[in-house]
This record gives sequence, structure tokens and C-alpha cells, in this order.
Amino acid sequence: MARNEALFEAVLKGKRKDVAALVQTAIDEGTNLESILMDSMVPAMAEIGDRFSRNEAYVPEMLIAARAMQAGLDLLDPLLQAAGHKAIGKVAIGTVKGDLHDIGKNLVAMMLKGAGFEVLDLGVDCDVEKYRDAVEKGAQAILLSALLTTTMPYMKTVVEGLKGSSAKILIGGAPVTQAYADEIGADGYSDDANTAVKATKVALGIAA
Amino acid sequence: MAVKIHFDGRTVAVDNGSGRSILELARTAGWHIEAQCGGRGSCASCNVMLGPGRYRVFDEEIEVQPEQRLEVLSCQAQVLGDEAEVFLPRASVISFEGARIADEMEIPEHAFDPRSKRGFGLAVDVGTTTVVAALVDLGTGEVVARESLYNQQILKADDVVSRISLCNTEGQLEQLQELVVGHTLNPLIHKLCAGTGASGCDIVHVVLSGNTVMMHIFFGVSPAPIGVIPFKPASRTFEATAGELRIDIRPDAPVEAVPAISGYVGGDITSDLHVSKPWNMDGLVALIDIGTNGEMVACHGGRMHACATAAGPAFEGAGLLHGTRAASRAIDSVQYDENLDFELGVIGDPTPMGLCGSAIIDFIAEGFRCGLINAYGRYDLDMLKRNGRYERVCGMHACMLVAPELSATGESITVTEGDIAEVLKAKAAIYGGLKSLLAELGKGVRELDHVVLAGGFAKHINLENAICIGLLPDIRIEKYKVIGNGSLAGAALALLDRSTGPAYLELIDRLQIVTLNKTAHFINHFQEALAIPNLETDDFPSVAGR
Ligand code: B12
Repeated sequence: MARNEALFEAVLKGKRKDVAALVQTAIDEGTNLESILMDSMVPAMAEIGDRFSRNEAYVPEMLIAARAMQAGLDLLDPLLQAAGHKAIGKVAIGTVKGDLHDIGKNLVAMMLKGAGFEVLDLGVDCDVEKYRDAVEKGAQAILLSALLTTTMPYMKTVVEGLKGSSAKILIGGAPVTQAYADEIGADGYSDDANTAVKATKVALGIAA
Repeated sequence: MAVKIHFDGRTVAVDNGSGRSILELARTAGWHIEAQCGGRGSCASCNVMLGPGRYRVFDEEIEVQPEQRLEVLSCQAQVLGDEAEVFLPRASVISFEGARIADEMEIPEHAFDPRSKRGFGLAVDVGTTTVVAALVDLGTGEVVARESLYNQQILKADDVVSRISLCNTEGQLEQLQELVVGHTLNPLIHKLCAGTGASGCDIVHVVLSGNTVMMHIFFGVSPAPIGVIPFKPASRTFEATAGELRIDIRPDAPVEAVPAISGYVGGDITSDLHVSKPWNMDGLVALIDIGTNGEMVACHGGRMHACATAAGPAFEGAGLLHGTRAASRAIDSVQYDENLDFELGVIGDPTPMGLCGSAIIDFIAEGFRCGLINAYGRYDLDMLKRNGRYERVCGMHACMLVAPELSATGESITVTEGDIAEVLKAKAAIYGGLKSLLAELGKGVRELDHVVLAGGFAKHINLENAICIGLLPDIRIEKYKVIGNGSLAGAALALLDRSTGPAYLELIDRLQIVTLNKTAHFINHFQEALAIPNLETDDFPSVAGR
């Protein structure tokens, strides 16, 4: 189905009220739910993400767009769930123990959802147990976020705690680096929400 | 056979360099390199150029040939072998020269009732970046001298959380304590005494005021619990003797800290509150410290709520490509219109090397007014190009403020769109935090009757510009009150009037701490505040919409 240009633009420009109104209209008109999401909204977030990678957009713009996207998702999510939307993979994401920052984590979760993943959001202050539970619930990849230099070392504890499980572990957050990911033996790292999706696909061997 | 270190036209040879990091070697040579992340290799503040020699960089062995130069993080580069040559870029070296330090304070009216009327007292504001000390004559109640110095802990790490992380490594807490006592406070005391003819032995009482992490480290107590949820301090009060802390004054002199309110709302805020007494002002009052931790207190009808908003160090110039501390050679104000003829104010030496926090606020505000910068912090590229100001730096669009031949670094001084984004995040944290804090009291930002601005930074910002970018609420300028270094004044008051100590203890329990991420609206307010001035334009009626 064709892209709803008005909706695409509204997400891109971060116009939250417009997004909600346009999504509601599309739902009322009986537009295919997946098409609303996949043909207009997700491409808008992907566009922002690409601009971000090219240094043509920055975190503020990305968060403003994400906020608008969320307004649309809030309307669509329950309907999609009821309709049994099929996912390309199941992943879990959570901020590590001791840390409460979740804005970046939520952005990554949203991009993953947009890319077609089923995402278990574990929230903040997650201990090893929480991540292990998620693996037991079928998560193929576990994503860890940390924004504090004091909580980042807990990522190592999680990697060690999940040794032997089949799930891949990806890490991210402002103080985290590729070097640190290598050091603790994580399966993937990225420094922004857009490449986080790519890194997750690579780790799980899903074609981009 | 030595490592040669070059900086600013001088060369210092350091012996036995093998196996040591360049960061350490430069320090031995007498130059202090910025290490914002605490030497963990996750920022780029400590960049240096390697000349010929053998090195280990991030665990890899590298040989640099004569005539070659390699840019690396000095904290992650070690010298192998005995000979090497290293060049320090100006932007990586901390300059203590001409630092703009807030030592101005107003001590409000008070009873004169010190513990002893003989000798001197020492009031100290222990900041994360700067330490200011004032010598008080306890016989007359007069402040006879003031001195300040960077807190030497900045050589190890910039922000409080990085310092907490360091303390998790054996021996680091003691080193940090030694840096602030032995290398910062004691030299300050010697200067104060030399200037006034007093002797260290005449100092009979010391009161310190500072954030909670600084107080823990000063008294040698690990701040580790403040680094993770629930961010609880080991203690809110501290006391010891000068001898125990190895302060160069009478060993039996009592040393005490102004008590903290919580892990991230420290004794400096207790002091600010006691000095400005917002509960005596009419209506709704907010006290804000615009800094890395962004502490703030809202006061209404006898109720007080406090929070910390974690703005980050962008206002100190850190994290910006050509950002710098407010010291000699820093651009500290900017004025311009659509012709982009920048009128710059520079501290001290007129050849600038970068922009400090007050200038970046001016730059964004003026840019927004003349249409150079849009509400999302992006440039009008045509305007930049038309006026010969466009540059592409590190893959980002940038505006050139100073041409290479006019700058102290030999490179142009620019502001990138990435820099603007950093400032927007910082100001969004402050404004979003304030809005959420007031919402807890059922109030809106524009209902504020008074705003008290504490801390050194607020003294130097242009308030209209701070409002224009959406950092501070859009209320009449007359409603703002800038109090300067309230932390120092609070420490001095505790020396001068013995009833102050008990008053502090009572005060810290009157505040209710608000955990911002648990409030219903913080994230929303933060995201709205990422735009200039705000996505909620109703909050900023006086800033012409674009
Ligand atoms: C917003 C914010 C808060 C909010 C958090 C709200 C929330 N629910 O998340 C609040 C105000 C509650 C907060 C609290 C604290 N904060 Co805070 N906070 C920030 C701030 C301003 C922005 C962080 C942010 O959201 N960035 C935007 C997002 C999109 O970026 P991001 O998280 O990095 O995520 C991106 C990537 O990293 C990546 N990513 C993220 N996660 C993952 C995961 C995976 C798997 C992958 C692949 C990728 C990935 O993708 C994202 C999108 O591109 C920063 C400072 C700054 N200017 O950056 C400080 C900052 C992170 N906070 C800091 C601190 C210290 C705190 C406190 C602990 C103390 C304090 N001073 O207030 C407190 C706790 C106090 C308390 N008792 O409440 C420090 C950390 C310093 C350090 N060295 O560790 C910072 C850097 C500020 C500073 N310098 O002082 N904070």
C-alpha cells in the first residue's frame, strides 16, 4: 500500500497531535493496520535514523519524532496485538541494575518494534534474574542499556550470568564503547538507536 | 634518552617514561590534560599527537615514524621504549590561567556569635571544578581574604559520577582525597596566610560547603552508594579535626561540612537556601543551580521540593567541539544578526581558543532570533554559505566564528550542529526538571513569582538569551535574583553565627526529594524542551515564534 505522506511528514517533524489524528482517521477509514505502521510511520523513523547516521539530524530531533511516533503506536499497538501481528524475532531490552535512565532504551525499543521485532521491555534497574527470565520467555537477543559510568560494569555481570544461554547480548548507552563490548564479550554494540537495529539483526543472523 | 613533550613552544623531557601513559607523562612535565571521562577512553578530551617512537595504544603496539603524527587518546596510549616525542594540542591542556571563578558572595544580615572570638575561621566552597576559600577574622566578623583554585581532582575525572566510579578502584579514594586536601586546600591556605600575615595556626574552625560526593571524598568516605539506585549517601553530615584530614592548620581545629539534603542535592544547596531564604519571599519561588547536576528547589506556602536534573557539563563547555572552560582565551559572549558579523567578548588574552558556556547560550539565542538556527537546532545552510561562515567539521555542518589565523589554536573556532544538540539536551534537562518539580506542587512554570539563581555560572549568563533558548522560564527579568556563590556565603555564616549549624540540620529535613523519573511528566517535559525555546510555545510568549 502507498505511503500516507501527511502521516510520514508528521512523524518526521515530530507533530504529535497530527500523528494521533492522522492515525485515528486511517483506522476509522479501515486502512490496513500494518500498512499504517510499516508503510508510513516506520519509514519516517527510519528516515530520521538515516539522517542521524549522516549527521543530518541529532538526538533532540530524533526524540521529538519518537514522541510523535509513540502517540501513533499507542493507538495502533492494542489493535495490532489483537490482530496477531507476526514478528521477525523476539528480543528483550532493559536498563541495568542501579540505573534509571530509559529515554535511550525506549528509543531503541521503538526502532526495534518498527523493524518488526517483538520487544519485551524489562524496564529499568534490571538484575541478571530479570534478563534470564526474558531468555526463558524466548527472547533471542538481550539488549542492555546503561547511562552511568557507575552502572556500566554491571553489564559484565549480566554477560557472565547468561553464559551458556542461547541468547545474544547487545549493549549500548552513552558511556559504553565498542572496546568495552569486546572486553566483556558482548555479541554486539551500537551507539545509536538506528544502528542498534542493524546490530541486532546481524547478531541474530537476520538479513538486513 | 627521554620522552620529549612539546606544548606551547616549550619542550620538557621526562625520564623513565617507558610503560607510563602519556596522560601521566604530561602531568609529570607540568601540563594537565583534560580527562573528562576519568581516563577510561570514552571521551576525546585528552587527545594528543604522537611523534616518532613506539607506543601501545588500546592494547595494540604502534610505531610512529619520524615526520609522522598520530592523533590518539593520551589516557589509552603508553610509551614503549625510552625515546618518544609527544605534542599536546592547546585544547587538551587545562589552563589554570585567568579562570573566571565565582568568589563573590553576599552574606546576609546575621547575629555575630562565633564559637570563639579569637583567631580566624576558614569557609570553603568545595566545588566539583573549583574550590574557593575565604579567611574570616573571628574577632571582627570580617572576610579578610579570598582565594580560589581548580579542584585538582579534575585531573582525574570531570563529573561527580566519574569520580564515584574511580572510588570503586582500590586506592583511588585516598588519591582523590589527597588531591583536594593536599593539592588544593592546603595551597589555598598558604596563599591566604601569605596575603594576610596570618599563620595556619591561627585558623581555629573550618566549615566546608559542597555537593554530597565532594564531601564524602573530602572526609575520606566512599561515595559509592550515591552512584547507583537509590543514590543514598553514606552520611549527610561530616565532622573531623584538621589533623585527621591533614589540613595545614591547628590540628585540633574542628572541620565540619554543611549538611546535605540527599545524594544529589548537597550542602551547597542547603547553603544557598539558608542565604537566600526563599520561604520569606512571596508566592511561588524556585532556586536553581545551573550546572552539571542542575539542582533545584521549589518553595511554596512553606512546602519545599527538591530535585537534581543531571544537565551534564555542556554549560561548562565540555563535550562541545571547541568548548572550553571559562578561563583566559575563552569567548564568553557573542552578539550578531543575519549578516553573521560576530561581535565576541573574550576573557583575558584577546586571541580566543574556544567558547565557554555563556557564549554558547548567546550564540544559539542570537541565531534563533535572526533565523540562522531553527527550532530544532539546525542551521540555515544558505545563510551560512552566503556569509562565508559555512564549514563541515567532523562530518557535521558548522558555523565558523573565528578564522584560523585569528584563533589561538591555529584552527578555526566553530559551533557544529552536534554542539547545539548537546546544549539543547542540557537545557531540556534543566527546564524539564523545573517544570516537573513545579507540577508536583500543582503549579506551572509561568506562575513563578521569584527565581533565585545560585552558583557561579548564573552570574555570567545573559538572562534574556537564557530565556530565549528555553533554558529558564519566560517571566519578567526583575523576578530573577542572582545570588553568586551562596555555598561560600553559607559556609561563612556557619563560622560567624553558631546558631547556623542547628538551623541547617533542621532545614535539610524540611525538603522533600522528588525523583524525576518517577514523576508522571518528566520525559514529556524533557522532550518538549529539546526544541528552541520549547514545543509548548505557550510557555514562551515573549520569544517571537519562528
Ligand atoms: C535525561 C537525563 C536524566 C533523567 C532520566 C529520565 C529517564 N527516565 O531516563 C533524570 C533527570 C531522571 C536523570 C537522573 C540522573 N542522572 Co541523568 N541525565 C539525563 C541526560 C540529560 C540525558 C540522557 C538521555 O536521555 N539522552 C538521550 C538518549 C536518547 O541518549 P542515550 O540514552 O545515550 O541513548 C542512545 C544511545 O546511547 C543508544 N543506546 C542506549 N541504550 C542502548 C542499548 C543498546 C543495547 C544499544 C545497542 C544502544 C543503546 O541509542 C540511543 C539513541 O541514539 C544526561 C546528560 C546529557 N546531556 O546527555 C544525564 C546523565 C546521563 N545523568 C547523569 C547522572 C549522574 C544522573 C543521576 C544519577 C545524578 C544527577 N546528577 O542527577 C540522576 C539520578 C538522580 C535521581 N535521584 O533522580 C550523568 C551521568 C554521568 C556519568 N559519568 O555517568 C549524565 C551524563 C549527566 C552528567 N554529566 O551529570 N538523568
